[in-house]
Amino acid sequence: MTLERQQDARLERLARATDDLAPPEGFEDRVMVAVYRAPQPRAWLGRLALLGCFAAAAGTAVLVSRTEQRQLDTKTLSVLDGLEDTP
Amino acid sequence: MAEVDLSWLARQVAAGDAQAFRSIVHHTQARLYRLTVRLLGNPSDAEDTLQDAYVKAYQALREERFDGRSSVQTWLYRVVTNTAIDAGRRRRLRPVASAEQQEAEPPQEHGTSKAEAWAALGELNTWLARLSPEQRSVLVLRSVEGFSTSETAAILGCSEGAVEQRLLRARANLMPLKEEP
Repeated sequence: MTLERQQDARLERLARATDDLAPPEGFEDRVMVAVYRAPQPRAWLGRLALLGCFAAAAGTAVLVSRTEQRQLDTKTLSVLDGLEDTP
Repeated sequence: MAEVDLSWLARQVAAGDAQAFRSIVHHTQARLYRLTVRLLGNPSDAEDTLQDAYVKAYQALREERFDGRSSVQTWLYRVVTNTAIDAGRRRRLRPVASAEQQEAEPPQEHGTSKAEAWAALGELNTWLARLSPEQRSVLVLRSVEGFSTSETAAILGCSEGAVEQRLLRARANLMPLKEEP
């Protein structure tokens, strides 16, 4: 028998022999207690932060757009004033 | 393990139903416990590690970090195996960690497990003591749990070639078989 086959035979025997291993009574309850005790995931917090970022970006865009528009209006008025002054 | 629809239960957990997670634990704990105890060789470490893995899995489901690219079952095996590998690494760093000290001791409250099973676990643990946690995980998944090379690769998140290579190294590092009858 080759070494690999000997190893396989022993592994198979040990796999069968350890098939009866089972978690202790009450393990499920223990896990659930740990699950409830662990810091609760806050997926909504991430979504809220994302929403805040979008709101801030939108606000900035509106502000920039208004400023640009005001500057454009001022320039246009200056040009028109210049035209009116021209004889 | 696959008798219930784990994907549906996982979706329920993601939607905030913690009782659905209890069902996942109920239907998976037997096989995952066997895997963990075979990976670590010690019932007390196995219980702590499996509990940690379940908490990680729950948080991942709630935070929608399970992408559904693999089945829930394969993903759970991955979470448990990775948690056990980390636990194995930490244990190797402990100065008291010798093969004898890590040997399986049947816990008092384990009335459901036979004494022969604990003795076999002790034998397996001593035999695999030389292996790194990564090599041990490949050997246990492939040759003890009976997963195919592709299934093992999916659980470990590596290529099939890497599985075969690690398996060869693991076999080469195993203790000699002189004590086998």
